[in-house]
Amino acid sequence: MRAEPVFNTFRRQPLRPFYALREFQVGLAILVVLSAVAAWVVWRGAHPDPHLFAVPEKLLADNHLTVYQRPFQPWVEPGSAAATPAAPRLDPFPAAVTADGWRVATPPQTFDDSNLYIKIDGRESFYKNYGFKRLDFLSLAAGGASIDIELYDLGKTENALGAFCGEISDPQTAVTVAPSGLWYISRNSGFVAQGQHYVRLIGSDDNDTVRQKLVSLKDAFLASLPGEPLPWAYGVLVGQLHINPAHIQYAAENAFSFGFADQFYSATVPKSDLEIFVSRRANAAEAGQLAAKLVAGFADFGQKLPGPAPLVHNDYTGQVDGARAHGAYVLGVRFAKSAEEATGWLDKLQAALEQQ
Amino acid sequence: MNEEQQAKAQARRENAASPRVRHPEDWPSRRAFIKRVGATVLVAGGTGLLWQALRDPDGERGKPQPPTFHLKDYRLTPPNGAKVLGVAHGENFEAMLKMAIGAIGGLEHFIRPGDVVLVKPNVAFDRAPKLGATTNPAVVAALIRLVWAAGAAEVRVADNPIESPENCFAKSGIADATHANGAGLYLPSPTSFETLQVPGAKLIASWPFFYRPFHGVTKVIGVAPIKDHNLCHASMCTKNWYGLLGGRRNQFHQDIHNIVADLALMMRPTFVILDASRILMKNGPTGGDLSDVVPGHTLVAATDQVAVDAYGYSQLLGRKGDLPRYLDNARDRGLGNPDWRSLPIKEEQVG
Amino acid sequence: MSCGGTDARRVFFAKEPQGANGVKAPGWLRHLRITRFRVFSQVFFFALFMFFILVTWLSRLKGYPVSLFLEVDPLVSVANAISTHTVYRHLIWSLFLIIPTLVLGRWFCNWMCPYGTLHQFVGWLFNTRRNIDKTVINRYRSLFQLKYIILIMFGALAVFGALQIGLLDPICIMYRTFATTIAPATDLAAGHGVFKPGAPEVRVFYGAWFVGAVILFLVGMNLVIPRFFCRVLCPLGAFLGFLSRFALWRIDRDVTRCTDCNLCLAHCEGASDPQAALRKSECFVCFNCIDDCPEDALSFRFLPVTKPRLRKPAISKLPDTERLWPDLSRRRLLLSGVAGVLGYPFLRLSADVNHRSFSKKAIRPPGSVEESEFLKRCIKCDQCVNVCPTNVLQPATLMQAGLEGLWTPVMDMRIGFCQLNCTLCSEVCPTGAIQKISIEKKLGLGRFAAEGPIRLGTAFFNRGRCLPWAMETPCVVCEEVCPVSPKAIGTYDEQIKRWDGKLVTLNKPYMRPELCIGCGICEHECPVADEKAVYVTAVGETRSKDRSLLLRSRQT
Repeated sequence: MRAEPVFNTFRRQPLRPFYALREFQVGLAILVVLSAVAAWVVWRGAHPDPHLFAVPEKLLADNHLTVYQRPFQPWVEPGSAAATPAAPRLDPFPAAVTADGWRVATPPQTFDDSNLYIKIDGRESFYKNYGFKRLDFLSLAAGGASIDIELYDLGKTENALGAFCGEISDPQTAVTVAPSGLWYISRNSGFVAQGQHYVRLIGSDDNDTVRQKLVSLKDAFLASLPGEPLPWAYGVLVGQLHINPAHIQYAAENAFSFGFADQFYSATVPKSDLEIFVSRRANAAEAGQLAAKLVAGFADFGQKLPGPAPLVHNDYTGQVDGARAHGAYVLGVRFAKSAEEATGWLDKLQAALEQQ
Repeated sequence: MNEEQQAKAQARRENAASPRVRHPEDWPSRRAFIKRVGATVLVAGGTGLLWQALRDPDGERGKPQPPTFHLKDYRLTPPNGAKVLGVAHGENFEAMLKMAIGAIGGLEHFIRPGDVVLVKPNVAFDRAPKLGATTNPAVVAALIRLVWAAGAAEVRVADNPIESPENCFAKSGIADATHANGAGLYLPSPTSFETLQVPGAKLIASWPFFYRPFHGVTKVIGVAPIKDHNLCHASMCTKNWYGLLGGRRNQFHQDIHNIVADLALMMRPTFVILDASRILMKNGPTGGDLSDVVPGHTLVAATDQVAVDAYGYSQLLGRKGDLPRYLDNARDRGLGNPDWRSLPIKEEQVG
Repeated sequence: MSCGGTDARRVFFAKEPQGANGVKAPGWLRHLRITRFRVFSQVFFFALFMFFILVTWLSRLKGYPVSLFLEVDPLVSVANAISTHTVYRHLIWSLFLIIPTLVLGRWFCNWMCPYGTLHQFVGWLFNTRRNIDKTVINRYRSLFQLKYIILIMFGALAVFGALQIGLLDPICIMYRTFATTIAPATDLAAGHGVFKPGAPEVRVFYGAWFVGAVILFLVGMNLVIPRFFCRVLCPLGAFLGFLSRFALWRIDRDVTRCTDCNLCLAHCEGASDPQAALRKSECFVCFNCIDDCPEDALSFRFLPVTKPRLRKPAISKLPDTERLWPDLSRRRLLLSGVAGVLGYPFLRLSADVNHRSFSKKAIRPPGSVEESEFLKRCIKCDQCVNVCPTNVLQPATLMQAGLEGLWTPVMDMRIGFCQLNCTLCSEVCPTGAIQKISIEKKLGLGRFAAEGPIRLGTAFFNRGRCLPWAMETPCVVCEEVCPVSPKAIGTYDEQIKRWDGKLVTLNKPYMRPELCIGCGICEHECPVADEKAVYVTAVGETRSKDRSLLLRSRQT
């Protein structure tokens, strides 16, 4: 190893002969500048940007995003009792649809406004007019026979009944009034309206097997579908006047092609053209106005008959129409053969309303 | 060939022919001989002895042996008539703490003059205090003041957060609460962990522990916020000790219920405070939104950390159904009683 | 007339001996000569630099201008002005350096530059040369023109938008070296955070060995050639050298006194030939030559005349006293420019920095501008890397980013994660590669609600490695630590019977990409340590349209 110093051991020995006071003065000026730099750095350090370290508290605003959490799935041992009902889920159909040896041929399908046409192309406007919300479809099969179940949710009881009645083509159809719904079964099909639901059951064959199943399905739906007591008008028309519910129609709006007329129950009297109608309004004044409007509307097609009765002779059909208010109700008659017949039905209606 | 070269060639031939003889005068002196041979023998012998001393025939000696230690049991026997839970409702944290701790035996009973007291808040995340993810700094400040007033010689605050410790302590306000009240703040550093032995623990019988702040400590107080937690349902006083561990903590989630029970075994604190001044109801344990937090106006002091967790779960978080399984595990291992309804409790509105 | 006392007021740096000899100046004046003030200034600025390094940390930062040395560095501001046509934020402060340099010459190198001070100190400490060796080692060599070639290449690259000055800018080297090697090495040796208190682990950096090897080489070269870096490589020195051409003051040699003894070379820092025609571009204005001149022939003069009319006979055999321009032939000037122009496509054709094949791991810090803009601005100073509280910011390696992106900041979520309420990197960035943002802006709060939060990338699950998905083992640390509300990680909760017949509840995590901000804490905390089961890649980052992922991201 070479003996050589590791570090610089020389003392700095300036060789210059002269020194100037100006150097010292410039040096002092440099010290002043350095002190200013140091002071500025210290000042900057004492004034931090407050936004660097925290968010202003007012900005911790509520975040209203909600997150869907998939439900917890517990362990189910395959083959155990708990595992069996994991077979096709039938909601919203009652579990009894698979009773009596019937099995699910097509699992439940659901249609809404946007895709209803896939199921019933061409006829969807009928249901949409009755406040269509959704259709659940299920097909059952047993042996060679099958039953298609269409369960319509129409939002309101009136809509369901309206659709139910609107689809009855044969005026002689015997409709049965259940406490909170209507139903009838004809040959290989059955129809139920209860609550806001309307059920169509279409069997493939006209035989006993199918018909028995239709009856039990009808019972199952009447038992399972939520329903409330039937609308008030059924009390009057069916209960008092004994009119077959099949003949009752409900017009949610645009009754008799009048834009102003809504929520009307109407019924065709059997074995005649005559139609009676009734509607409940908020109060007597409103009922009076609506009745007057109706009479004025009828008068567009004919002439008001003289006398106090609010009757109009229709120039085109030669029949008599009329409407009047009774309390908060509007009641009326259309297509009467004569003024007398019209007045008679108006009085009958009024009596029935008073009875109720 | 000149004369010089001829002479050299001649000499070479003669030298090569003559025998190798060492003349006696060429030998080193006796002293020099002993010195030189002795040096060689010394170095050779020294190497042999050193190698013998370092011998490790099966490789066992060479394995690193980290220093290990045990934690003390910091519990005290509560005085006669003391409750297990003291529940204080109100706004004034200092008065509430006085009431709640008074109910479980009184601070004078737990903290004696000269005690070195460690306060362990939950500062796991970098969150504003209002977001409820960390212990309320006002509660920590009030607790430190009370501990000083009880005559403690030293008060320390420590936690090993999940996010950057500097940020967590600064933004949660705990750093300010600590410094403003004269307590010492202990942040983790690479050398502040040592292996803790927890006899009887199922999973952390030997685990790196944030040891430095515990050096010389005589009393330990946990002060934990009450928070929702997806995996273990709720994070309260027992889970708070998670923040004292180091190492691969992220493995704990594989058996969280046994880990939390192990934590209750690892740390037997003097007492614990459950800080329900704010309650993180959802999106825990991080929170991050004011809509996740509801005001609780409640502080609970307890000498049984399992009981206080059970109380908080059903009464403060308002959860229905079974308690988190870690509380059952803790009960099965004799670490506390989650059936708080059977325990003496004092509940009061303060102020 | 003597030089001490009142008469000395009229002289500046012992300009005129006024005929008197041998009268010694008072001792205090000898000790407070200008070179002593220079040493003081160097110590001051070095200490200031060290202070800035020390306070570049959340609990110490307060409002300190820790990037000050970069912001006054004229090479940084000029190169940024060339590449972006703008002067960002505090870069305007470089005027405090440019203007004095235009007046006084390259004083920065020996009065302020901390890297120069480091080299000077090391060179001085190990300088045991004696006699003639002392002067020979400080002679100018043609090698010293290399720095001008480097500067011109970097300048040409900057014109095209590839900013490479940071590779060799001394201030950038200094910050980078301290951030990634010296500070962590100190913390490692001390066992606790000297530079970074409160960090549970010593910080680690990609390629720390390389940065360390560079500094060891450059500092060690001072034993071979004093101030090797400053004289041979420094592009900032070269730039200041060009500016010095206009300096109004310079060291002037009085040829009627100079005896050509060459003693002025003994401590010449810049190797600027004070014994002959002074190379203005090389002179560091250290004033050592004045101290060393026994003939009082050297002085620092205002507007000295290059060829003075001599009233007395010249003694020196070298009549010239000044060389204005750097020693660089026009051929070399042209060729280095051409090399720079050619270098641009070579750099830019590296696929890593191209939007068509960007590296999935080139995750830039929050507030970063779009990638090509980023490369126009980033000077690789690694101030962001230094201030980062979680160690997530890493200097990119050659393998990751090619030469163009070498040492630019990228995030490695295995090492750290982007802390939600932290924007420190945007505060310290001197050039706006990371634009200054507030926490409000980062989180998309308040008036930034319409823009939404800043996303760094998107997290992905590797279900093949995820414990609940692949190994029937409970976990979801990722969900627990996810900092956004509502959480960007959801779980499918499911109970299963394990291979050992035990019932376990698994929370199988999935990503809600609209909510993920790419902070990477999930990746950091994931227990599958070597190759994480959840990992962030750059796709989906908000700064770039080229790297977006979702057609619709979260709208509030």
